[in-house]
Amino acid sequence: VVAEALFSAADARRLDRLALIVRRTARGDVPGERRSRRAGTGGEFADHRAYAFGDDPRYVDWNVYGRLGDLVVKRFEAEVSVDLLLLVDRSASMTGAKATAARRLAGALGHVALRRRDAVTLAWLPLVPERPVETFRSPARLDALLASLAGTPLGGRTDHEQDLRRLLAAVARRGPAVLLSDFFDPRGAVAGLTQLAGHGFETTALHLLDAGDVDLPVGEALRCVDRETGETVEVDATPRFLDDLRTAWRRRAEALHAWCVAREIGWLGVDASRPFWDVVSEMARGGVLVGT
Amino acid sequence: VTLAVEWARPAALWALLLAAPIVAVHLYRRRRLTVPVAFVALLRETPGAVATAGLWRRLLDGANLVVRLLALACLVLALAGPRPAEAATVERDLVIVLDGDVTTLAIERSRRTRFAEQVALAHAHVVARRGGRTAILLALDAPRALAAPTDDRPTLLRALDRAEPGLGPADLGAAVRAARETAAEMTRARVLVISSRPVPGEEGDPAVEVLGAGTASDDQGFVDQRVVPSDDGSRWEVSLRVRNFAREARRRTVVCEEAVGPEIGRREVALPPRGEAGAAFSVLPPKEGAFVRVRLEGSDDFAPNDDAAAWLAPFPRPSVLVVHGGRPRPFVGAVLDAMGDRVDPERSGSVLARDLAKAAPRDVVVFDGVAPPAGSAVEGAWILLAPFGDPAAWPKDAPVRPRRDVVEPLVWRADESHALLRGVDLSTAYVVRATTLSGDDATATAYVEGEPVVLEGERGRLRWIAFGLDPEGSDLPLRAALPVLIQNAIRRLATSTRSPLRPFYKGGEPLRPRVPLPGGGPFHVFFDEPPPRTPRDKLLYPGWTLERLGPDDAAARPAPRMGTLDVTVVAADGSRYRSAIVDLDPTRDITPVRPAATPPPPAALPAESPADRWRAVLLAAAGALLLLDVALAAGTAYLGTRRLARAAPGA
Repeated sequence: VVAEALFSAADARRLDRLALIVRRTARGDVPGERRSRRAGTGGEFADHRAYAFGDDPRYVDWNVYGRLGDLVVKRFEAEVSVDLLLLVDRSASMTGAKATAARRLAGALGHVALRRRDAVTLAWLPLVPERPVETFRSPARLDALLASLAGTPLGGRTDHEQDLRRLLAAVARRGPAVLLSDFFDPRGAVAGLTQLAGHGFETTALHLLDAGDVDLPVGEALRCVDRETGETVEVDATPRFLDDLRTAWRRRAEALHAWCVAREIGWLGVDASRPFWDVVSEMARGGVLVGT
Repeated sequence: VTLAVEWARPAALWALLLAAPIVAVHLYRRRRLTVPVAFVALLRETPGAVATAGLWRRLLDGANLVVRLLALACLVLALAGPRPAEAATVERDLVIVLDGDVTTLAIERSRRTRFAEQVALAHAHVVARRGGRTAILLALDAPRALAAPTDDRPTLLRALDRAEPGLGPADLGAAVRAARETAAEMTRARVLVISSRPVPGEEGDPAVEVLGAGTASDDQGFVDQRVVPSDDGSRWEVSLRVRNFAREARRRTVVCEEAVGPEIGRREVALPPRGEAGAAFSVLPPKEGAFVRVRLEGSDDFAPNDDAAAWLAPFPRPSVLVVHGGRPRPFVGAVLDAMGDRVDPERSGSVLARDLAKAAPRDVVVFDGVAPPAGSAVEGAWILLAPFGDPAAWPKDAPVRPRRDVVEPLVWRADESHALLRGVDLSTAYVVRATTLSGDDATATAYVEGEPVVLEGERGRLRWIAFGLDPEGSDLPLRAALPVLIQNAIRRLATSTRSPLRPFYKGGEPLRPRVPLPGGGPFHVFFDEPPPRTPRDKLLYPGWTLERLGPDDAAARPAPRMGTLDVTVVAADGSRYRSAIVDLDPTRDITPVRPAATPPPPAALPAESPADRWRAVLLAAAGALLLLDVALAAGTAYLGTRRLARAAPGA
């Protein structure tokens, strides 16, 4: 019931057929459905490597030794889970379509992760003081995740760097991290992403874009008040100025994209006004999700 | 160096309050629509939008407001008329008094009236002033304000252009007092009286300056008139006094003429310097009477006193009826014949005593030795001549009664001053018989043996004169005594119904009837003036009086001249009586008591006035500021629409 606040049952069924793409080996502690390149005792055979002192003699492939005379040990891919870190921007600037889109996409990712027995760690930016981090480890917790996504109010200022510095100290596992934000950060759009990448997270930026942010009334003398900081700036919304403003907004997104590409950070611009499944398809094409 | 400033129109400074709405409008136009945005930094990252254009725009907006307020201040200050304080106090306020006396109608050498010269002098003084307020008063019978205190020169000049003199005497003293009171309410005001007449109290008051205007003094005019009947009562004697107001001797011709009719006569009079001479005319009025004008021929500097007039009522021409016992005695008929036109022969006649009741009424009835019929003594005028017959047969209701006969009487006492006995000497007359008389409320004028023999009386509407001296056998008919006595009696009885109005009244003199007008009131009085004729009507009541015919009555007439007026009084019964009003004021002397003043030069050109220079500078500054305001507004508009430089967003 709670899930329907973000997407319908049909949407949920479609999401069941999706899986997260994790480029690095997962290091989940809990057995899951995701294969790990780490040698392990269970799972499927992966390859051989030369025997080394201390290897468990049980993993020596005696057949190879019999035919080739080399001592090799067998390696197996472990079936492990990953810990998906969802970072959702709830600052005051994320109003309207951006907030809805961010929560639905976070819900979709959480849904996919939990269905695949991955763990989901949800954190709001700015942090919610009473529950800075919420971890969901089983599909049964999906509703709780969605409820949190649907019920957490907007508010506060964007300061990704400061928030993530506090947050990442409390998150031990380094796995995929998805930051959903409009990146209207006074410290700079890349401040949060730099923190995530620096802490070894497989980072993806879902950049929420809402053309309404630069859609000001034409021909008016305006006193623009920042929703987060309350700062004001007076502008004359001439058509040319609005053109320039839209150009600046677009170039800002392009600049962020270029910055992410240069650092192998996933980036996907999400038009908040686009239909949900179009965005999901875009995420699939962008390598964030994959169908199973 | 400090510069004290005064304001010509300090009330205009209230217009500075217009700055409040200008500021309000400016703030209202500068208001901005508040909109919440997601990221202010994005707006700041758009170069030129805020940092450059906004700053310039704010600067231009502020400059716009400052310039606009400065322009307003300059305009308001220019309107308020700043002037150096010492310059404002140089010119004292001024109260001008113009003399509106009728003598200002004197014609000056410039062919303008003296009043016009006064106005021109006042005009020059107004134009010569460089500041300060001016008030203008006109001296008439009561002071009249032509212009309230003001520094508006056009208003003062218009007031002067509208000024007109009065047609009567002006009270200069009252006007000067009023001017002093007006000056007391002004700032260091002085009084300027423009008059050529003496100004009461002009000496000793430094705040009052008197200037003359005009030099005309050649005036001769009528100062008195007398109209009386001639001694024989057949003509009017019109006599006039002419005064020479000039300082040189003059000879003038006095012409007497009917207003509508022929010239009656002319007299040349020699007038000594500032002296008088008389002229008299004996006028036989026509039957209907005549409105006679007397004028000085030729012209002088002051025309209003060159005319006089009088209404000469016709003398009565009574009808006479002789009542006799068989035929009128010859001397009675001879007397009537000798009176000629002084009686009305067509309506006169004789009748037997017994036929008296059948005869038409006559003005005078002469009972020639017969007794009046009983019951006839009701009204009319009777002359009763002795003998009176048997006293026992004398009617009881007769107003006069015979007492006793006296043989060869001697009139030893007579009232010779009585009009009835004018020209009659009875003391030496030989009379065979006389009858003494008695009557109620009668007046005796001749006595025989102590008893009246000539008696005059009045009872009701009957007036009578009785002669107790019997002409029969006497020498009275042969002497002048009897004809003159009868003539006097007829005229005395006939003229008793004389006109209630005098032949003329002097201007300002109460116009009252000498006897009650028939029919009671109200009465209409019509004034008429020789061309231009402007009849005026006035309604008066019994006991009426027309105290004055001065400026107020004459002001409505288009011709500003005094002179004569033809007056007609219409009584309630429709009967009309005429008279004349004549201006005969001997004090109307146009001779100036002071020389004519020279008009002051006009004030310096306005451009040289510091106040005007200041005003010009302020107006120029206001104009320049308004131009700058327009330029700033255009600049603001340009910045608002300028294409902003594109700028790369900072990531």
